[in-house]
Amino acid sequence: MSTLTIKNLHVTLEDPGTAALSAGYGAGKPILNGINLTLRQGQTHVIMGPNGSGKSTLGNTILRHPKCKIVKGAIAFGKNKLSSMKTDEIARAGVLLALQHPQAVSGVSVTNLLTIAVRKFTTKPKDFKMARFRNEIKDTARALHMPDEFLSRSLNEGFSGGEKKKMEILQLSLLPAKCVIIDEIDSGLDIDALKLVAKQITKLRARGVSIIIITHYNRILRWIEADRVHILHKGKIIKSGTEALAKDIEKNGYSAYIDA
Amino acid sequence: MKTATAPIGEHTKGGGSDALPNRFIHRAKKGITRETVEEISAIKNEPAWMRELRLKAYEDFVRLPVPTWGPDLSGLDFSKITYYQKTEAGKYQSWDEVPSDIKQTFEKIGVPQAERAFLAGVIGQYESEGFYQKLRPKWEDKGVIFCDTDTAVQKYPELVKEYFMTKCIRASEHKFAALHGAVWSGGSFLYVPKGVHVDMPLQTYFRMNARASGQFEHTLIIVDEGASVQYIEGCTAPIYNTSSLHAAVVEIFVKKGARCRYTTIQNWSKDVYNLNTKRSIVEEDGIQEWVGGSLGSKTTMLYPCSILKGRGARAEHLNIAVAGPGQHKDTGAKVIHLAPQTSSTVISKSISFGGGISTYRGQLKIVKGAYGATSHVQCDALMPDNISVSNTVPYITVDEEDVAVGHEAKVGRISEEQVFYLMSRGLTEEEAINLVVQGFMEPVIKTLPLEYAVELNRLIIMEMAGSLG
Repeated sequence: MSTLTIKNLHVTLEDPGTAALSAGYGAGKPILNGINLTLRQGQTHVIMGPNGSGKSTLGNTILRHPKCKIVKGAIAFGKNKLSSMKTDEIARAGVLLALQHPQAVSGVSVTNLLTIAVRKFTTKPKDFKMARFRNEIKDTARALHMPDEFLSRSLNEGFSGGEKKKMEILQLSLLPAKCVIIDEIDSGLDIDALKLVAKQITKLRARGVSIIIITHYNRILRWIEADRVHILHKGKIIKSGTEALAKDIEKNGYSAYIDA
Repeated sequence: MKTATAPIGEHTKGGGSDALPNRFIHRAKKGITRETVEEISAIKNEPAWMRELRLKAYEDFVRLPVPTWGPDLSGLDFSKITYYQKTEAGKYQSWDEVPSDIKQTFEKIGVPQAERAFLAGVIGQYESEGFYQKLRPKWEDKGVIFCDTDTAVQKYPELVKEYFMTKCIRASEHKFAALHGAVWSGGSFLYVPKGVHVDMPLQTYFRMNARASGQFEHTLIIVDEGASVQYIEGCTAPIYNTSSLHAAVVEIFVKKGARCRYTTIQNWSKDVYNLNTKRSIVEEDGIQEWVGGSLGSKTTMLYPCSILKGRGARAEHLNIAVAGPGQHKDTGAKVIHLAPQTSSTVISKSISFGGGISTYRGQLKIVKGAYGATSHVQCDALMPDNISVSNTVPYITVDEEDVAVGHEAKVGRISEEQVFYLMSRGLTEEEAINLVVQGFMEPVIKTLPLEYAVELNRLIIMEMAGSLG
């Protein structure tokens, strides 16, 4: 049982070249300005906020993206001090990220990647039952209504936005996650696909995985139960509440909170 | 299941600790003269026609200049090279007969193991001459001939005389073809009779162990009408500091409706000039496939050529070149479309790192009258750093209007985002980079038998180890 604790986190973006992180900010520009967040094992938190509020940077910082520089504060997951670990060590500690804009990897299928990755999580790779794992990959893909061919094609190469999102959830479902950060999984998904993705997230929740959902909209909350909803603005959490907060934002927009 | 390692070669960074003691029974003096050529021919007890071919080639060698259109070859000193060295008096048919030190060298790289597991036949060559050859009886009974080329000169003179440097590659073409013609030794001779499909690969393994030596094996493959074969060549040399020269010639004849896949994985030590000439003449509806992996060496010049002579003939070229620090890979493909409805595909992948230079140099020619010909050339370069070089030099001549020709060239880098993505799945930075590299090579790797695919991946990753990140 591990709690994700973020304390007074200040982050600057080193090289804003990538739109994936946060468009429009200059080099070394402060993005997160004192985030405090406590996510107990098994909880689901939703982080909402207008464009450019720092949502994706928060997710990327937890996984220690090289462009997100922590200037102050700390991130911990149980005993693991994430703020001084490398990305792969964080992943192997069970903290995984579904990227908003996952990269294409030519010549590497999701099956290749997962079979390599999953062995990194086990202490006895030789005892690992690979055949069973391959079946799990297929079953999960079917649950997401993904044709088998997606499992052997180059990962994310020529995939639609929705297909990429499903790929991310597929990977997070199959690796031994304890805490997942899901970055804008709902953008670019039609309602049927969103339901399937939400179902997988619900399964993770049922398994006791802690979840951070980063989103613009509350529609995903129709299928997922959230313990807390936070509004992020200019790199700070300006308001926290229950699901009612998300509903209120959908109805009235962010302005009521931002102007306050 | 017990798996055999493919005999591509051990990695050569470890130094020459596995070098064998000198055990030469014949060793030519350093440098090349008319007498050297005559001596080689005499030791081999060759018929007059071969001796004359050699001497004529020697004249061409003296006359022709060192080519200057490609990589710098000025470090190559023809007078410092030993052109012929023979270590074994006999030829063995069983590994039990092979002297234990040589046997160990070949066991270390997995040759006997692979032979037992998945090969139809094997030739082992040590220094200048073949010392081991074995073809499974099943194929011998069907009339397949697989032996070293010196043996073929003695046993099958009519076939060799007809095809050896007469109609495919001529000694007079360039300096290295001429040198090869003069001092060639060893190599494989493969004949597959009409309609015979050899469904297991045949392999020849060349090992160059001596310092400042030359290896000039000649491979001659004739695939008769409707037959098919897959032939694999692997070459290595341990590390030395005196430049050595490898100037091989491969001539392939693919007859009507026949198919030949020629696969070569070369892993020379980093002081070898690897300058080869390889060509296939493909007749009606024949298919020639070239699959190549070029590792190691100081300078490599290699442009396998397919001459599509008969209607409907097809060529597929797949090549991977890896150029690390101090290395220059000048590789590519040549395809000459001489007949209607001929088709060709070239996929060339190169990886340059640590300041290495790789150049794709390719020629595509479609003559008037080769209507309906199609050709697609794709060159992909991967450069994980900013200090390496990748060039693309395509020469395209099309004299027929009714053709479809495509050329694509891409240069890719391994991006920080890609590495982050893979690391976020638990892979270390090194594993992430390796996976991107493996993915890049995958279109070529997947055409190899599994054992070779695994081995080539391993070799490339070892070659790049420590140079990235």
